[in-house]
Amino acid sequence: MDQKAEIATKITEMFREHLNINVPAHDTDLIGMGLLDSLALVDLILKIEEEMGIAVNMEELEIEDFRTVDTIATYLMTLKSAAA
Amino acid sequence: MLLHDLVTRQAEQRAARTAIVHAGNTLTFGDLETQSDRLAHLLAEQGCVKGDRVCLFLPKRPRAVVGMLGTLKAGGAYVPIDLASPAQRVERILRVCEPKFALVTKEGAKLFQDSCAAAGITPRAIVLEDDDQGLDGALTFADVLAAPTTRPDPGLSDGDLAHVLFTSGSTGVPKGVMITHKNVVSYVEWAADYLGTQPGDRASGHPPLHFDLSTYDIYGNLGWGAELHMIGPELSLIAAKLAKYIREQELDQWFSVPSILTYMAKFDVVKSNDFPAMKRLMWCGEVLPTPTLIYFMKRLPHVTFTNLYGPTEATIASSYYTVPSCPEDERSDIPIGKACAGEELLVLDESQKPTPVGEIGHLYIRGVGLSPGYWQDEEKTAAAFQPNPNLEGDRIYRTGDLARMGEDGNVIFLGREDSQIKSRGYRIELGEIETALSALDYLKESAVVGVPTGGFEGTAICCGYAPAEGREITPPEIREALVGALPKYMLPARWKEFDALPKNANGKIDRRKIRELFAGESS
Repeated sequence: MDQKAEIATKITEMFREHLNINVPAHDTDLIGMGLLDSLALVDLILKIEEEMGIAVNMEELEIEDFRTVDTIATYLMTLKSAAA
Repeated sequence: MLLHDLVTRQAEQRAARTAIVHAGNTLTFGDLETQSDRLAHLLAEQGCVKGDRVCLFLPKRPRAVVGMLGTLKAGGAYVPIDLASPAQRVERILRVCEPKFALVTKEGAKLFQDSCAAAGITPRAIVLEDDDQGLDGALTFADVLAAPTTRPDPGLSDGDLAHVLFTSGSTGVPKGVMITHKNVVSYVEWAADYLGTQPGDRASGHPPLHFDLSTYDIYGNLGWGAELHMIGPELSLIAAKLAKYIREQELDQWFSVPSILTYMAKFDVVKSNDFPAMKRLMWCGEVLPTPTLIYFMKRLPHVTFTNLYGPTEATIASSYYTVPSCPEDERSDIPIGKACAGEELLVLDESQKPTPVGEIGHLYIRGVGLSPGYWQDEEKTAAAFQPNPNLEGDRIYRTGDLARMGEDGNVIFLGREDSQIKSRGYRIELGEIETALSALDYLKESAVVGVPTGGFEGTAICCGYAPAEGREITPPEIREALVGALPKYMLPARWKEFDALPKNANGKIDRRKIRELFAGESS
């Protein structure tokens, strides 16, 4: 499994375990489907920071980065490589 | 005065001026007027007469206002549908309100098809897009633009229905609150006068269109020549983005439910002396936590802060309180204040006599805002809208809120007498969620409680459940089953599994105990 797919799987797990939300697929439109509202978004970001050790700057966040599990994974990859 | 006449009056004076701004698009007063005149003509030509229901499957876009005004001009009463609601819930609304027409855009087309099929009804659809979005035989916006601008005369008077707004019902069937032209006109006339609304003002339009607060945004601003800046739900997801929007659009008035303000405060996105154009910040729908108010008042000393209070049944808001100075104590209560013109707040005891000043009682409202009642539900109407014991021929509405009258005549809100909660501004009957849970055969029992969080979400919806014998079930599975029955904002955020739910001495589910168990654990 490549690193991005690994992160995507981990995000899907966070949705299920932490937010009690089943995400059907990695390309599901989380915002369009109403799965991700402001409350869930904040919880998710806190969880990502805690479990993956990545700092997410809320000021610079673009909502399109959180459109699908795939886009979140891509976004986190860029954050990781920027920090490295 | 009819509701749409307020906007026509402005269109006659300033046709070329901007009426609505949304995501970089603008609509002028002139275009709003002619497009809605054409839509009204088309609706009438298709058989719309006074009192016909027109369901709106429309997202928050300038064209939604064309749809509303067109409906009113044709004599219809519109029913805004929450596009985030599942088809099963919309189906119940359609069954009850029996629409003859539906206005639809691409975002609402699938929900329209699914809910109509489930309800077994076929309202005439007008798609407010260039094509029919796959709805065979539907009229389109091209048909609207081809219709003459001559307005029909449906013979309306101000006591006729303008819209029906559906809210959560405790038995799972949404209640339709009937609102007349006069109900809305009375409120927005008071608001424009009190707030000093003027042509060219730049006001926010934050609440969704199925919330009655958006009725104020639309008519209270457009009716006085102000610009309405419609804010879609996506912009609210990131507090910093929303603050940037307010700053860049130079909004001079902000109006929303409290949760979005607390969200901005939590992420500290408001700078000192931020939003220099802003003159007034208002909230309604639930209690604004005092720490949030202090946060905003300290940073925005140039802004006037006004708390508005009132249920949909009494139209938009019934009382107001402009905060005189920044509270010093984070624990102090912000009053819901005094009645708006033409309305009265009454704090009454069990026998409907006024309670002494300072003592808790049931909050009733009387006056010009009172809805005629719930759509086709005489029983619920009679229970909530009661004869005024002190004034023959008058009615009072029992809000279900508890309150006390302060010595200065300002009313203080003290909570609910039933299991209705407010979560992120949404009014939710916990019974509606329990009804949906009880349909799941793999649960032996379940209960839903509201737990105050102190956070921006206000009250968290928490579900305690016990699986049926021999069944294993996880919260994500239950949640997914509920998605088909309830809108997302009603889905429980926290879960707890029990072998059997705690019971009180009478053998009834002990909700207090369950609430304590949830409150005792950190979220």
